[in-house]
Amino acid sequence: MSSKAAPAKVLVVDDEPAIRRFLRTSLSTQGYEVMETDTGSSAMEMLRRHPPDILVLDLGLPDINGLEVIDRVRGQGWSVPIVVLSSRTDETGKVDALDRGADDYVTKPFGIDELLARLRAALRHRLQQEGESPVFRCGDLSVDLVRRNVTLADHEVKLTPREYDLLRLLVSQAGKVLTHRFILRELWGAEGDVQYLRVYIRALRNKIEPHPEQPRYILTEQGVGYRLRAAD
Amino acid sequence: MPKRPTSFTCSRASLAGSAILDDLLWATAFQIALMLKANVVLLLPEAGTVTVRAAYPPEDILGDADIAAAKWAWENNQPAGRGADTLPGARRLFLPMRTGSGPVGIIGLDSDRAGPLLTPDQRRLLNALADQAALAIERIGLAQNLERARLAAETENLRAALLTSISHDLRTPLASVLGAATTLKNYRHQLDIPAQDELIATIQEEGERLNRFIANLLDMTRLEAGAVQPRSDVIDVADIVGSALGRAGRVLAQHRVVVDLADDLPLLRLDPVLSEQVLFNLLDNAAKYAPAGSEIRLMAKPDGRTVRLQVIDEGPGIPADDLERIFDKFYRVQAADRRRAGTGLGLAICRGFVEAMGGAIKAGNRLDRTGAVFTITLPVPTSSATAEDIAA
Repeated sequence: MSSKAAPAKVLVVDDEPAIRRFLRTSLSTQGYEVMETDTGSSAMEMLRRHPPDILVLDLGLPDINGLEVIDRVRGQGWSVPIVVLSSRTDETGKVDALDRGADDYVTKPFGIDELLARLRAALRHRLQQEGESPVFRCGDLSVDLVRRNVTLADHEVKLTPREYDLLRLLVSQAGKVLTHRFILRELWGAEGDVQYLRVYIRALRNKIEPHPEQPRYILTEQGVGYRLRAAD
Repeated sequence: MPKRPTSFTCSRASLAGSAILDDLLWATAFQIALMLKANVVLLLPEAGTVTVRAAYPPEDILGDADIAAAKWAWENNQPAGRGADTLPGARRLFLPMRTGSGPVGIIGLDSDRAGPLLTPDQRRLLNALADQAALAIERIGLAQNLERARLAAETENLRAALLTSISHDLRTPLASVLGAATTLKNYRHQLDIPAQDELIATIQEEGERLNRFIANLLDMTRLEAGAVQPRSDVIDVADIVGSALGRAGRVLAQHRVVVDLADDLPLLRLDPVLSEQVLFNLLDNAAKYAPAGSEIRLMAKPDGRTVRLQVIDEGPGIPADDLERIFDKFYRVQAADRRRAGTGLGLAICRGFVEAMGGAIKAGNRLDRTGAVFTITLPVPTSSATAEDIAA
């Protein structure tokens, strides 16, 4: 986020005052304008009156379930990015949240750097939808989306068309988690199977990761999906 | 929820007990029926009344008059029904089975013959048989009570161990966090930057330790409650290894990690989250017991219809007597220098998760040098396609 641009407005919805206090303090120092509330219904009201640029939403709210809030937000046709705060015990909750239209999640307890990275990725993706940057660079990896050219430390990497499609999909939403279901639907349509995905991820890692067994670029979110490390 | 395992074991134990009891009751009914040439029902107390538990010839339902007579006999510890002073209109005669400490049940008798139900000799025989049956029934009841008491004591021990563990393992990091935070709050201006950084690092690291401990407690509780229902997803072992190593990054910062995965690992059907947790716990365990700077090796290779995953360290190894026990909850191998050990839950969770997914885990020692070897064996699904099949 550029410091010259108008500060991004973030609405924090969590019923824990301590979490709100910590987020208020840390997000403000990072240039966000922070609004906050503690219930789902008041969040809907604030979204209507003062639309934020991004929504940070706890799933365990006292009045309306966080998943229900996502449904209502998307049901209104609002495209505001949503980053969900989920708890560790709720494995299926985060996949549900993503399927219903949340953009990303962090699992409580989380470090602020993790949340900031999620917010940046979610905001960047929304800003980029009009014009994607033609060359993606992260560490030694570089993907030229116009020339369909992939290099690793300046050496060209030969990918099969399917491997390239997978990488391009990850690049197009770099930094964001993509669920298995989403990737399968985008690349294989209805007949997609997680087996294919596992195999192509392995193949892709073998070509672009310096140490495929300890991946730097394509990160696994166990039980959820994959996330490409954000561009430098 | 956490109560469920206990009541489950409890009901299983009492089922075993009641199977014995049912056998005994049936044998008693059969014997009495044979010796007295009569039809026999045996009733035991249940929920404030008495109900039929065995009969020869088999009989489940008593008429209302018989039920009333049986109940009266039980409550008054006196005969009732046919041929007795009370409720003589019932089809059967009901007699209490007694021991020195009171009635334990009721015998009901009838016969298809006309005339008096029992001769005086038969009546004496019946009394003797009833006394014997009563004693046997009482003994089984006592055994069941003992079993219940033993299970309660075991639960109590677990609770005590849990409390000790919690008070120590939660408080120690919490003490560091509070200490560091209050120092920063009160004396920040007297501390130079490195000292402040040191305190802040303490808060973060101890916070993370607390988080790991609470995660372990949650996992253990879920296992104990029988609430772990593994998903069966297609997974790539390499993928699980990668994400476990990623998560264990800070824990392993002082060690050299070597990963050695066979190229021809088949895809498996496992719960990805549980699998990652198992590997994480094993890596965490190795990092705790093996000295800083030593090597931790993670290997995976196919072995027949299984995949074998190993975490191998260069620590002191595991005493032979402890090889099985280290998977028990709250069991910790006493480190020679009494270094900060773990919570005593990590390996118990590993075993619980691995077994829930249909695999096996065992501990051993290296043969080439000192060091522990943890081996996980995971089944390869019969329909598993190889990477080559799909990429082709």
